[in-house]
Formats: sequence, C-alpha cells, structure tokens
Amino acid sequence: MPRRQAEAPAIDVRDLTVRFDDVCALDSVSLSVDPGEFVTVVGPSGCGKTTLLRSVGGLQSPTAGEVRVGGDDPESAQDAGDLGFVFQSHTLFPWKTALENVTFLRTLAGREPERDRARERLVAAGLGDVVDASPRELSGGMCQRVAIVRAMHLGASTLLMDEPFGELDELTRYDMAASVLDSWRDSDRTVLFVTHSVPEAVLLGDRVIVMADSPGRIVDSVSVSLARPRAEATMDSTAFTEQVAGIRQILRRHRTTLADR
Amino acid sequence: MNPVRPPEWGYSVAALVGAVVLWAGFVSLFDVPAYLLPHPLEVGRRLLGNPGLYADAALATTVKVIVGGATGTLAGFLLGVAVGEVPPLWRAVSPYLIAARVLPVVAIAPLLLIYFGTGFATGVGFVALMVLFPMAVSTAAGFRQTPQAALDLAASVDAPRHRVLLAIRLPYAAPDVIGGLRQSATLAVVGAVLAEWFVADSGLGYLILVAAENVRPDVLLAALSVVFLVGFSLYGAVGLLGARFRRAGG
Repeated sequence: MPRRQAEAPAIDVRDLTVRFDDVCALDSVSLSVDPGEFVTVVGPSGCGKTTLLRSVGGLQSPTAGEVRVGGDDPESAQDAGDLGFVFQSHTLFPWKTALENVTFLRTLAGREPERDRARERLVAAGLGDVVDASPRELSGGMCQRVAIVRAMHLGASTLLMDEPFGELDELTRYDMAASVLDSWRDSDRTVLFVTHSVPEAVLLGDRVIVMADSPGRIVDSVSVSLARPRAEATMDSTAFTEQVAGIRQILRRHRTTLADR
Repeated sequence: MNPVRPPEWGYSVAALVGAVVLWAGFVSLFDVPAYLLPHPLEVGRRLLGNPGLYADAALATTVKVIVGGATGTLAGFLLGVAVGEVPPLWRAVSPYLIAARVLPVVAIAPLLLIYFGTGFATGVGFVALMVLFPMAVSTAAGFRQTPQAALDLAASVDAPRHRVLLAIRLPYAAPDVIGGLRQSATLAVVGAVLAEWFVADSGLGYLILVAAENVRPDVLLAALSVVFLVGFSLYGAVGLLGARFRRAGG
C-alpha cells in the first residue's frame, strides 16, 4: 500500500546513542517512519527497544544523535499534545472512572476534555458497559483498552506503544491487536509499536524493525507484504507464517548467546 | 430468615461496656478501697456532680489540640510535600526526619518554656511539635508512592508541574496523608495533656495533675475518661474524613 512518501517523516531518528553509565542501550540507531505508517519493533529483552520508544517520546534524552517528531524535537511534540503513549501497564488512575481517565489526559495536556466524544470512543471500542466503572472493577485487558482509547482521545498524530499487550493472555492479545488495527485504519495516525512477539509485529506492522542487543541496534527492517485489512485469520495464511519465520531467522542470526558475554 | 447482625460499632461498644462491668465487679468483689481504685459509679458521680469543671477543662484541652494540631499537621504536610517533591531534599533531610521521631518531645518542652513562657502559645507549640514529624514523614512517604509510569504519562503531554502535583501525586499520597492525620489526632491529645502538666493552669492535663497531687483517683479517672472521649472523638472524626475520601474514589 503506497503511503504519502513526499511528506517529511513523522518520526526521524538519526544516529541515536543512549548510554546508561557504561551500558550502551542504543548504539547509533537511525530510523525514519512515514506519516500514517504502522511500524513495529521486535527484539530480545534488553535490546533497547523501549529506550528507542522513550527517546522518540522525549522521556529519555539521547547521549548523542537526534530525534525529530513531525519535524520538531520531542519536547515540542509533547507540548503540542502530539504524542500518545500506551505503556505496558495501563497506568489508569484508580480513583477515576474509565471515562474520566480517558478525558483526564486531555485535561493534563491543557485541552478541552470532550466528554461526549470520549464516551462515543469508549462505546465504539466495546466498552459501553464500563464507561462509569472504576479501573479496579475491570480486567487487565479492559484497562489496557481504556488506556488505548485514552491515547486516541488525546488526538495525537503519533502513537507510541510499549508492549501494550505484554501483560495479557494470548487470546486477549490478538483480540486487542484487531481493535488497534481497526481504530488505526480509521485515522491517519503514525504508530510505533514495540513488542517481543514476532507474530504480533507481523500482524500489525507495515514494516517490522528488527533489533539486537549488546549493544542495542537495528539489524534489519522488513516490509510486511500482507494485504490489509488484517485480522486474526491472517495468521493462518502461509504468507504470514513465512514472514514470521523470516524474521525469527534474522533474530537468531544476531542472537548473543550467554557464552559470548 | 436472615440472622440479625450487630452493626460494626456494636463490638467496640460491647468491649467498652464489658471493661466497665469488669472494673465494677473487681472493685466490689475484692472490696478495693476508693483511694486506690474508685467504683465506676463513683467516677460517674464525680463527672455528673460537677460537669462544668470537666467541660471547661475539656474545652481548654480541645482548643490546644485543634489549634496546635492544625498548625502542626499543616506545617508537617507542607514540609512533607517539599521533601517528597524534591529528591535531593528527601535524601538530605529524611534520615533526620525519621530519627526525629525517636526524640522525646518532652525533652524539648523546656526550650519552649524559654521561648514562649508559660502561656497558651507553649501548649499549642508543644502539640504542633508533637505531630509535625510524623505528619511530615507520612506525607513525604506518600508523595513517593506515585508510580513512575503515571509520571511518564504526565510528562508525555508536558503536563504543568502544579497539575501533576495536585491531580496525580496528591491522590496517590492521600492514604499516607490520612494515616498521618490519624496518628496526629491521637498524638495531639497526648501532647496537649503533657503540655498542661508543664505550663498551663487549665485543661484536663492540669486537672489530672491536681487530682494526683491531692490523691483523688476518682477525679483523676473522671478527667482521664474525658481525655479518652476527646481523643476518641477526634480519631473518629479523622477516620470519617478518610472513609469519605475513599468513597469519593481514593
């Protein structure tokens, strides 16, 4: 599917290096994401994929290199409410209802809460029954759904998702993946999605960025050739299985074994 | 048919009644002389015989508790927020704040006498000092309860600091702050009674002191039961505040 190639990249990372003390979390990483593109990032634990995402979101300052979001630095994007984060844990506030949680991020960003629109979004995400429920009454999957609706409701053009389904069971994961694809298709948002699951990365992404550790770096970028719309059934196709196998081979090739360390 | 369940407070009322009955039984059974332990009815007669004396004393003590307690908890809260909000300040000050809890405030009383004389201000200052450190420590601990992910979320939209403080960190700190208030409620009563031993010429502490010097355990116990009542009411009031907050969604 050709996307708007002519525009400036939505996310532009150049020679990004991040060091914590003497550990090199990211070593000269470069990545460019087009507006509206859905890019997934896979790699072993400790390969710096979360650090990459946090750097794009301005939560981690680079040791060297440069990050641009929509042509600007991440801090400006934060200020403009142009970054919608979804973290591994849902980070809903327990003293607020689902609806209040969704509108609260906009309030924090200094915007109108738009309650009616938020309610519509929750209903559209299949959460109509729990609009006024407390997060304590909701399952982990439902909380994460609310967190995704919250990120959408912020109205950010870039969504940064850090293993958002990492704490969910297998069946719920793919259910959630399908609903993320639905809401992404209806928007023109750019998504950077970090996961450690290769099938999830292939199911969701236009492109899969493959990372390796020690030091954290990008080793490959694989275009996903599967037609959209994709659904859970997509995972049964041979094309899907082949792409997953291909990416697993790349990961294996770059794997640092314990003996190498 | 559903079995009749006693209300929650029923158990504590039953315990109190039971204790008084045991006390009465003990005194009657062993014929304990009144100068050692008077019969509860005797104590009740003291209370009802001169209610003005105890009411005035209770009022004097309660005023110290409220004024000193409010000042001390507010100061402790603000200190706790400052210490909890500024990590270097936490590292610098928290060991002393925690260690200060082992300092007997009684030992500081003579200093207050020097600074404020033997009046109302010393009583209030003593109460305030009594609750300051526990309140500051609880508050500071509470303000460190905010999950990093919640702060990251706020940072991702560049939320202004005051809004993060009030709308995120304060609610996460609320259970600890309320715990601090609960502790303060009882400590403030202890502080007020102690202060009245040192400085004042009024209040329940003063009454207890005078009763003890005149070997009047009936008056002493009457005053003591009023102290208990004041402390209990105060603790209950703070408890209700906490329950209300939780229902509101804390």
